[in-house]
Amino acid sequence: MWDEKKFFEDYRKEADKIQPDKNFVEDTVKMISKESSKGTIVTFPYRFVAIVASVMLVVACIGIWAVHNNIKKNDESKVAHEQEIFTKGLNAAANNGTDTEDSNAAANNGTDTEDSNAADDEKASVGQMAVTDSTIAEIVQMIDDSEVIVSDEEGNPLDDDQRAELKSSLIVEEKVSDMPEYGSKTTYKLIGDYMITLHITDDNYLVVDKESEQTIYRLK
Amino acid sequence: MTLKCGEQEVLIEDIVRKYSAMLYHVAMIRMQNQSDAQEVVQDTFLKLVSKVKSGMSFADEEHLKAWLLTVAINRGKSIVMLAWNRKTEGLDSIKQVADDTKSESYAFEYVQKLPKNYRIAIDLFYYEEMTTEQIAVTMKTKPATVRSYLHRGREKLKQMMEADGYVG
Repeated sequence: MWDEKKFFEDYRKEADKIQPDKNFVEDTVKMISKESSKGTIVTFPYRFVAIVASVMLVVACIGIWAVHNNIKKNDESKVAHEQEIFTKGLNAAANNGTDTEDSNAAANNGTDTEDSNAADDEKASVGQMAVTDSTIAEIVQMIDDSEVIVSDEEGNPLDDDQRAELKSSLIVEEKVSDMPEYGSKTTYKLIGDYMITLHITDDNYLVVDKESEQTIYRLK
Repeated sequence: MTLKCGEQEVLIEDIVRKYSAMLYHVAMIRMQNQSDAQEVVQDTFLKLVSKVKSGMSFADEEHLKAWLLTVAINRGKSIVMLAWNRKTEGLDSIKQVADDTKSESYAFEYVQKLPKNYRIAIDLFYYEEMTTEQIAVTMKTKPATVRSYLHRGREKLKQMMEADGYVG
């Protein structure tokens, strides 16, 4: 019968004889002592460097994005501002040509502009001075853009004179919320990066179809 | 140089003197070769110095002991891989170790015939008197695996001794 307990007692006694040589231990002590007296190993802080580099990269990306965004915003606002000036001029010119009998127009327009809420970008101001509606500005810009195809309902492209005529007809009186009951209409298509369809009714309403959304204006 | 072990600051030379025998013993069980065992011991202490220089400290003496044993056993693995061509020398060393420790029971010799993991687990359990949980940490395995090593090791020992006619 195998006496397990005795076996491992014997094992302990025998294994206890496995001892390192005293010289080896002393040599090891000397070696370790010498090694430990050497200068502290300055380990290159790879992890720290990696973290700092990552943070710097993120900050740089945010900075580039912010600068890019700022430039883009400036460009957009510059274009919108130029468009507004252009539209104002256009409306004023059209008004001077057609409505000369109203000698108080300028004064009235000035009053109207003061009364209107300039911050409301979606609201087209009454009168011919300050049309700030972004959709109208966009349409005018598209008409001016030679890259944009402006055609009639049949798909016939408009020439420069017709484009100018169309542009001059876009003098907004006000924005309306309900679809007017109009009889006949003239349709124009503006095809650039996307398409806008304009319907100008005989009773002076402008219906703008842009990306399945309709905006309706009453024209001057 | 001192090493922080719990609240105490211990001289690294004292650590070497205190744990050389334990590491050498485990390394011999692992390597079954004197020169490889000595290399394991020295490499383990060199690694300790390197770690202490980079700011490593130990919670207590048990932590330090477990760390030293783990490093020694794992260092042994890489030395075995490098020294595969020294197999013949290794076999001679086993005989030498067995001869040096020979007694009437031949217990040490039989344990040396066990597969590597079995003999390490048995040595740490019966000689170093470590628990299966402590051995599992040292051998980087699960306590259940250690228990399995011990059980199978004992079974094999019994079989070998029966085959040699020591157990009836």
